[in-house]
Amino acid sequence: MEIVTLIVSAANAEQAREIAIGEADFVCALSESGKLPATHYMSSGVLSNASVIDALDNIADIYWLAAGDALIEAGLQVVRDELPEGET
Amino acid sequence: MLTPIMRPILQPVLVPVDYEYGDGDDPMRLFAGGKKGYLFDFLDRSTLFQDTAGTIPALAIGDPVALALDKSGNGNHLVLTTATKRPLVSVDGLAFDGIDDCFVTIGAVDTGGSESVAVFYGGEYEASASYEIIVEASPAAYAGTFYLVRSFPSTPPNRVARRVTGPVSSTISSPADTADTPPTKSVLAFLGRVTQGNTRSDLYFNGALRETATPDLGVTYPFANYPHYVGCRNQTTFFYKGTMTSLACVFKECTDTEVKAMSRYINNRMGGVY
Repeated sequence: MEIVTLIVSAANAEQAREIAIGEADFVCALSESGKLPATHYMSSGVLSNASVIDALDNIADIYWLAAGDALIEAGLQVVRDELPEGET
Repeated sequence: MLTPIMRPILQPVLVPVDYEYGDGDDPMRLFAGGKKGYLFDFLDRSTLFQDTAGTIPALAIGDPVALALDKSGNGNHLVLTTATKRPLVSVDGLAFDGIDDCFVTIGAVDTGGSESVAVFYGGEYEASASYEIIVEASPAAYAGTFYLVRSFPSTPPNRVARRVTGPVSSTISSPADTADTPPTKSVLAFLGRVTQGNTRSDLYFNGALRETATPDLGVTYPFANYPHYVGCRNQTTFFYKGTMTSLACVFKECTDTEVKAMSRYINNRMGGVY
């Protein structure tokens, strides 16, 4: 079982989610600074259908690495979530 | 011996009794009398599957887990349909990557209209700058729900927080004293009660009571039936990073003795963290 990390630009995120439905949903927001706005989105884990890699080939950066190493390669950081307004 | 159990997930699941529970702290005692909730032992690989139908066992380190069976007999199995979001089998149970790994119960968890809940967790988390939800009893802070957060980033950081929410207000409690911040590898218990005038939001770690709170929810509002999210909020944010060995939730008023017994059971499963 090989871990793959997929990173897409924010502009391509919706298209990538449609292509990779059931495999990756790109919910992890990224940016160079680790702060909003998110410039990229990421999914990381084990695929059940590797053919999705081919389908994402032109719109996603594909790293056969765990998320931490892929982020170093990509020069990006996770944008940490804040609690919604009114929830403390 | 690990023996894969091949069964469709929609069939009633009998409680496996294929391993030793240790020194008599049988976790099933919590569910005596048909108490609602769930019990997950992520070290018991006979309960882990790589597909949501429960046909491909997850037996090897690194196998993705799409289905974890509830051992309480209540049928509140954990599933995850998106492949890359599935936690992986690890030496210590399941590994969550902090990026997108999580679970959700297969349906709404029946609370039986209880005004009390007890949640038990054993695992080792990795600190991050974000909230790391162990379990949340709805997609967000809905009325009649709770959460348990392992990494609460406010000052002092990395505390454990727990929330109970009624229809009027939601109250988060978390120790202000760093002495009450558990070690990264620990056994936690959260006891909540939403009976107005007699509320409770107590935190135990490693078998000892560390903080009590009496949130004012304005009105008695029993725990409601929602899907429970493990390791995240609504599969989209606040992802837990680290390993989980055990997770249990029972909708009843637990005694101090029961909390200590369940904590000992989890501690034994983890090889002794205290």
